[in-house]
Parts: sequence; C-alpha cells; structure tokens
Amino acid sequence: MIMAKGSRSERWVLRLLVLGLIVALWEGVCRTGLASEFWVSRPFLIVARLWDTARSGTVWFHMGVTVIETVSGFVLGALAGIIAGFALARWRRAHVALEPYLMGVYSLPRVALAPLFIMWFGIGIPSKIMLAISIVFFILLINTYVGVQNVDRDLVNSVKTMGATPRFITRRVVLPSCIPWIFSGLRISMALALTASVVGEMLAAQYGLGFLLARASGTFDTTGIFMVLIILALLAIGTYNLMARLEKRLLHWQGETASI
Amino acid sequence: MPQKVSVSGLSIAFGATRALERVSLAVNDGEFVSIVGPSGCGKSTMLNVIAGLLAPAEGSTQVAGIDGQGAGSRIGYMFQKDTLLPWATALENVCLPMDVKGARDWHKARALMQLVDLTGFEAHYPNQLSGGMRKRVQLARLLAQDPDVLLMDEPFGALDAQTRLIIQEEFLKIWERQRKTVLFVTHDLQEAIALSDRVVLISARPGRIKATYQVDLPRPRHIESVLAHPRFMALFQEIWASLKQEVLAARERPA
Repeated sequence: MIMAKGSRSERWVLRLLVLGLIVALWEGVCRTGLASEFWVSRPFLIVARLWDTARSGTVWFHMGVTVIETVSGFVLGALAGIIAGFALARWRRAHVALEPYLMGVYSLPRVALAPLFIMWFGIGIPSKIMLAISIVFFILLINTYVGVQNVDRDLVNSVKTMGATPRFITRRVVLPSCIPWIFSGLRISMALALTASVVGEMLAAQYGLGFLLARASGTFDTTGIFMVLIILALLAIGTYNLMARLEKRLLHWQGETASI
Repeated sequence: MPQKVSVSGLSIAFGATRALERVSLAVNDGEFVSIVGPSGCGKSTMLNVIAGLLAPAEGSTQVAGIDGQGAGSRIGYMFQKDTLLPWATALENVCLPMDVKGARDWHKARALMQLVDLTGFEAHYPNQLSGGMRKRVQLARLLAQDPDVLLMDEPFGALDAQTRLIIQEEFLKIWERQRKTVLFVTHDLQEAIALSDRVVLISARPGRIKATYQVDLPRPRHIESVLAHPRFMALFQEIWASLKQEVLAARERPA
C-alpha cells in the first residue's frame, strides 16, 4: 500500500479519529432516538457484551472452534493444492485430461457443497474443514500451476547452459519463482477459508462464531450479531497482516507488499 | 591453432521460415569472433544450437571436441536479457555455476566480484542494482563457470550508451587477460569491430555467411582509441556497406 506523507503516529491519530467519529455518531443516533436500538444496537452495548462473553470464556471457545476449522482447512487445502499444482504442471497429460473437470468444480460456488459435506461429515468440525479445503485447494492448485507455467524460460535456459540437472533447475529456479504465485493464492485463501467455516457453522453447527451469528439472528439479538462481526473483522485483519509479514520476510528480494 | 568451435552445414527452419542455411564456421582457440547481421537473420538461433538449447534440422556443431548437445558444460552463455536469479544475492548468483558443479567457492566468487569492480555489493539483490551492475554480476557469473567457450548474445544491447562503453572497456580488459574463445552476437557494428579478431557477416533470411573480415587492430585495445583508429574506420565503412544491403533486404521481406 502506498502511504501518504506523514509520520506513523499522525497516521494512527487520523485513523482513531475516524473510529471515534463513527462510534460517536452511532451511539448518538441511538441515544437521541433517531434509530432503534433493536435494529442497529449501540457501540456501548456491543462492547459490554464483548466484555461479558470474554470474561465468561464463551467467546474464546467459539472463536477457538472457528480458528481451528479455518487453520486446518487452510493448511491441508493449501498443501494438497500446491502438490497437485506441481503435479499437473509436471504431467501435461494429466492436465489435459483433468482441466475441464477442475474448472467445473472451481467455477461452482463452493459453499453450495456445504449441505453435502454436512450430510457426509456431520455437523461438527470435520464438515467445516472439508468446506474450507474445497475452496483453498483449487485456488492453490491453479496459482501453483500458473506459477510453474510462468517460470522465465530464459532463466531456465541460462542455468541449463551451466550444465544443471533438471532437479537443480526445479530446486533453484522453478520453486523460488513460484513462491510469489503461491503466496498470492495463500493470501486470498486465508480469507476464504474463514468464510467457509463461518458459512458452514451458520448452516449447521453447535459451536463456532458462525453458530453464534445464526443463533443471535434467530433471537433478534442485534448486539450479538455485531459482536461476532467485530470479532470476525479483527480475525480477518490479523491473519491478513500475519500473511503479509510472512510474505515480506520470504519475498524480501521483491520489495514491498501491502498490509493493512 | 586448434579449433574450439566448429559449425558445419548448419540449417535451421521454423515451420516454413528458413532461418539459417548451410552455415559453416570455425572459431580458433582464444579467438574472439563477432557475428553481425540484420535482425531475424538467425544469429541468436545459431548460438542456441551451439549451446545445445535447440536441435539443428541439418548439420552439426562441435565445441571443445564434443559433438552437439553434449557440450553444455563447456559453454558459458550470456543472454541480452537479465538472467540473474532475482531471489539470490549478487554473490549467490556468482556462485550459481559452481553450485551446479557441486563445489561452491566463496573465495573465488568474492575475487570475481572484485574483478568486475563490485566489491561491497555482494549482499545486494538484482533489483537493488543498476543495469550496468547487473551486467557485471552476469560477467562474474560467466567467469565463475570457467567455460571453454563464451557465447554472448547481444550481452550489452540493453544498456544505455554510456554504460555500454564502460562495460565494453572492462570486458575487453578482462578478456585480453584470459583470452577465452568468444562467439559474440551483436547488431552494433562498432562493438563487433572494437572487440573482435574477426567479424562474420550473416545475410538477410535465410541466413548465410556473406563475408568474413579479419580485424587487424593491435591488442591490447582501448575502446576510445580503437574508435578513432584509421583502420577501424576503414573496416567500419567496408563492413557497413555490405551489412546495409542486408538490413535493407531484410526490411523489404515480410517477417
């Protein structure tokens, strides 16, 4: 992200000012009776609820379930996708044979698989992990495959003229040049894995942030909904920044990457 | 003098386009030969065949007594494009050919960085270096490979005019010390004459050897004095008169 001129502290003062403005406006609109608390809740109520559930531990438990589902689905799906992507790039025949089917499944809105997974794997954690895997796998498969296809032929040729073996070329040229592609896949996947587990939990679950969301909605508990939304936003921003930091470290030869 | 590179009866076609036709050429040990010709005459293709990256339709090549594609490790190839690994530091890039052989020698790599005047830039990544510096790293990498024959495909073509003059001068100095066999493709005729012992002129497509010129300028050479040498100017006029015809002929033919 390109930052405007100004110091770090100035940047944060401006951002906090925006937050303060939103909170004040929201709180004010409810207090003066312009909007009904029932429909839009109120910042003070949300914070109070967050505090209560954090102290009783329930929110940590549900958050933990969602995080476990998201991270397991993300890691398993990413590993499988990366391996499959390299395999498809390696065996052209397999790619030719499988491409239409892969694209078919890839184009399918994957959350539509949720009912099937819930039927197969139950309403517990496994069905949410499978749903996350089904999304992450294809993104990494395609990104890895494209990454291998986009390896600079001239780099490969120049190393080849040094007498390098195919294995050396794979290890020193192909793999590193795929890393940016894989990372861009990972960055998108992280957010989508979270979406998958939350949607899965909303459909059928006993635990998790998605479950809390569905339950709050079912009882017209606007405050509960906003509380979960805020937790989800914080989780998403946190993981995104974690990925960006990891990427910066691994791809330091490339220059700056975005962070929020 | 023993022949280091020999090309005999080489023909190459891409589909219906004949790129090279029955080209034969021999380069002696320690000789610097430049190949000039209009764009698309098959100069680069010829280097690719000699390097074993491309199979010829007809004819054969030999490098250091080894036939065809087996000569790979005896050849150092420098492309016009940057072929440094962007994820490796300058020093790691110089080490690359040694890694291929399984014998990394940091000491030698540092000495080569010094030879190309890049001491202090060992830990820099290619995107932190200027075009001229990247070229010098490539030169150091080429020397680290210690090949019998250097194939250079417009290696300095992408540099700005000033940087190019400086790199040419440095390259000339290094080469005159080491005297490796060089086959150098360029479309800069001045560069070809200033650096080489012999200039080979290839015709417009299908590429054939049209003429060969011996460059009888004394060595060691310095770029600026060579460019002002009367013999240089005479050669330039002579070769350019012939090259110009081919360039014009190539322009009239559709690609």
